[in-house]
Amino acid sequence: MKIRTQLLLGAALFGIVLLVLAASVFTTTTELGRLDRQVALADRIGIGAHDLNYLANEYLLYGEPQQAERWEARYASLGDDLANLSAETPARQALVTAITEDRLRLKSVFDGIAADRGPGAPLDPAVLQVSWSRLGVQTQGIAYDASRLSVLLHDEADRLKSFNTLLVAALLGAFAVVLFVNYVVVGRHTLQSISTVLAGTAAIGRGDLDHTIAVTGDDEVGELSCAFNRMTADLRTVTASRAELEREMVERQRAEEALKEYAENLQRSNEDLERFAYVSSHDLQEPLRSIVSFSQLIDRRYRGRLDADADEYLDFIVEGGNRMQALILDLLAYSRVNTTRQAFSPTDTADVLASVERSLDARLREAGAAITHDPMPVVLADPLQLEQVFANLISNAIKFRRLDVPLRIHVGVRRADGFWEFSVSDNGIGIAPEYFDRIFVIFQRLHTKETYPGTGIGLAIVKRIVERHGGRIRVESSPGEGSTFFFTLPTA
Amino acid sequence: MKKNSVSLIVIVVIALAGLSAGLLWGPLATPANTPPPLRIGIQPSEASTPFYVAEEQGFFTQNGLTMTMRPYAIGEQAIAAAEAGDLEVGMTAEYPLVVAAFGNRSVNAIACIDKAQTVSVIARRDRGIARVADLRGKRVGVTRRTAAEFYLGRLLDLNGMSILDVTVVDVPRPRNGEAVVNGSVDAVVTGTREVVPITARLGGNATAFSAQSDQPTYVLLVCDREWAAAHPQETERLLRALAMANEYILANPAEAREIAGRRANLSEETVAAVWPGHRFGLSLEQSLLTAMTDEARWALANSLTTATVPPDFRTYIDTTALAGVDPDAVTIQ
Repeated sequence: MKIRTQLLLGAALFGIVLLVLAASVFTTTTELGRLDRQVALADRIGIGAHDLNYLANEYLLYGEPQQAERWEARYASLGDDLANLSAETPARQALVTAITEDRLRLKSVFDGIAADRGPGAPLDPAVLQVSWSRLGVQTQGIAYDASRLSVLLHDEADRLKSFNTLLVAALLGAFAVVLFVNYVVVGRHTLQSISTVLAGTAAIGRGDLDHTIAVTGDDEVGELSCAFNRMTADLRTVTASRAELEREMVERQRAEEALKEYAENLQRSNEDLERFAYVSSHDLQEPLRSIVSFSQLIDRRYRGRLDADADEYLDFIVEGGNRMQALILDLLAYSRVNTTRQAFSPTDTADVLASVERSLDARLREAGAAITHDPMPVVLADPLQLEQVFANLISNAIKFRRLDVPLRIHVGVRRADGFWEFSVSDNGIGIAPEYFDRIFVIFQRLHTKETYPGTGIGLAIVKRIVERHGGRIRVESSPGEGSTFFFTLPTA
Repeated sequence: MKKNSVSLIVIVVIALAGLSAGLLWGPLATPANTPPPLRIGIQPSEASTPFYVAEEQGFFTQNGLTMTMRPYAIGEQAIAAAEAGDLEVGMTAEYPLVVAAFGNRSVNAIACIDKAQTVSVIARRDRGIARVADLRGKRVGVTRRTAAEFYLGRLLDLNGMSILDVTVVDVPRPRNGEAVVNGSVDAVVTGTREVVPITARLGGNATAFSAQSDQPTYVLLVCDREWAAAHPQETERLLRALAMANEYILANPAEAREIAGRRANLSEETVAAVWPGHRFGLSLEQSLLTAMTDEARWALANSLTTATVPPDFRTYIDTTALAGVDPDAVTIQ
């Protein structure tokens, strides 16, 4: 049973007890008041009987009319009192009937005496004695019955008081028993349940999320216990999720650290490779130069003195040596992007572009090319490498121009999302989309060296320089419609 | 606290409540250990209804009494039997006790059990009797030394005559009414219970009027003085049983009337006629002394005794038993 229900029932019981007590007290008081009035009436009737006896005797002695009148008046008033008596029990009914009948007999006796007596001389003593006795028997009988009625009414009042006392005591006793039983059975149960919940919450508070509070009933404390148990279950789930999350974070951190370590290793390896490539290409230059020089010397001294195959072989050696030398130079240049880099400084790209135009002036004029450009910004960059980027892209535009149309080169600039995006557009032969990625890979070529000379390292160097500056490079092109290379640099 | 303890406390509380109720409602009647046999002399009339009821309802047994009821036609005989030890308790009207007192008999009244207005004059119309005054010179049957003798004398006195103005014929009970039927007397003073059967037998030739002149008959219980003094418990138990019978009569008037008619051999019509004239109830009131003294004076005035002054009737009334049963019922001084 719910505690609220218990409280409501207790309050209702208390209210009922109070109502019954109040009703009992009210009823008892009312009834006692009524009985008191009945007792007063009975007592007055008894007194009235004695009064009538005295008045009758007075009339017997003196025979004066006023005594008869007073007797009649007193007789009438006794009748009024008698009429107000209520006969609610057989015993009271019997006494009221007896008084009523004796009153009538008294009247009969008195009337008989009055008829004989009349005004005048004193009565014969014998008649007087008989009359006195007859009157006495009746009035004493009335007085006796009136006293019995009074006693009866007192007894009823006493019984009523006793009953009321018993009722009040019984109700209070029953109420006390109910309260006691309620305390013992319900209150103690509730207190014990609360103690259980308190102990459980203390355990949960200490972090024992596996603790389950015993549900001892279906009352509010029971509901509270269930709520605590649900809460601990939820907490266990949340804690498990948190642990999982923490575990994932640790793993991710470890992965990041591993990745970082891997990147650092890779960086170191890359730097080692770059140094190795730089050193190798630098150190390879000297023996390769000797090979090429002596091959050329042999070619000059012994061409025609050997057979035709030997001449051809010597050509291969010289050509291979020259090509190797070019590759080594390109590789050295690629390596120098990081190994010989300079600190970034504010660089006016207009100046850079102008310098490139000057260095490529002969080739531009030869190709009949015209370079246009947007207003060029100042960027934070390595000016020499930035010049290398523009030079390479414009040089490619010259190299891969279409011979049937005048070469047009435009350098565009726009600002977007914290970057300057530069574009170098031409109207050359264009590039098929499937080669967009390949063109930025070192030593990757789309054409034979006989068609377009070169080692295939230029765009790889450009890409590396752009990325060193924190930017990206891409190309948009269609075969026969020219190409546009876009690269970004962070704004200053 | 364990459940057993709770149960024990509840039982104790209930027991205390019950004990309190018992104390508040008063002590219960405690039957006696040894029921003494009592011989009771009663008159076989509706006046003995309390005895009939007490016997049939077991009130005597409840009060530890065993009873033997013996019928006596008149109170004088019951008084004599009680004095002689043939009865423990006798039933009589107050007038025979007045007569006994004049004779210094060793009996006491221990209670009045009924105040009755049940004595009538039944007269023959063919003898010229239609009212009280017509009794002058007539033969009037009456059982001597009974209350009827006093009532007749008082009736005549109050109507301008005396006992000497009629011819009193002693007619013994219980068949005293027969005298007026057979015409040996012109009128008879007898119990009202005789009015219905005698009137029926006389047809339209009978007339009846009250003989008591508004003075009640006090139906008394008398005992031998020595016996009463030696047996206070028995007399008190007897009165308690009769008190219970009176309560039954008040609460169950129809049943009581049925018992009265059956036990006194009275018709329903007769019971209906006489029942209102009875007031059953235990008392010893002052008017009893007044009435007895009045009757004694009447006896003296009519030379029915050799005494010259009325006896002190207070000495013939023992209030001990009734005061033990119902103190408020005793107002006699």
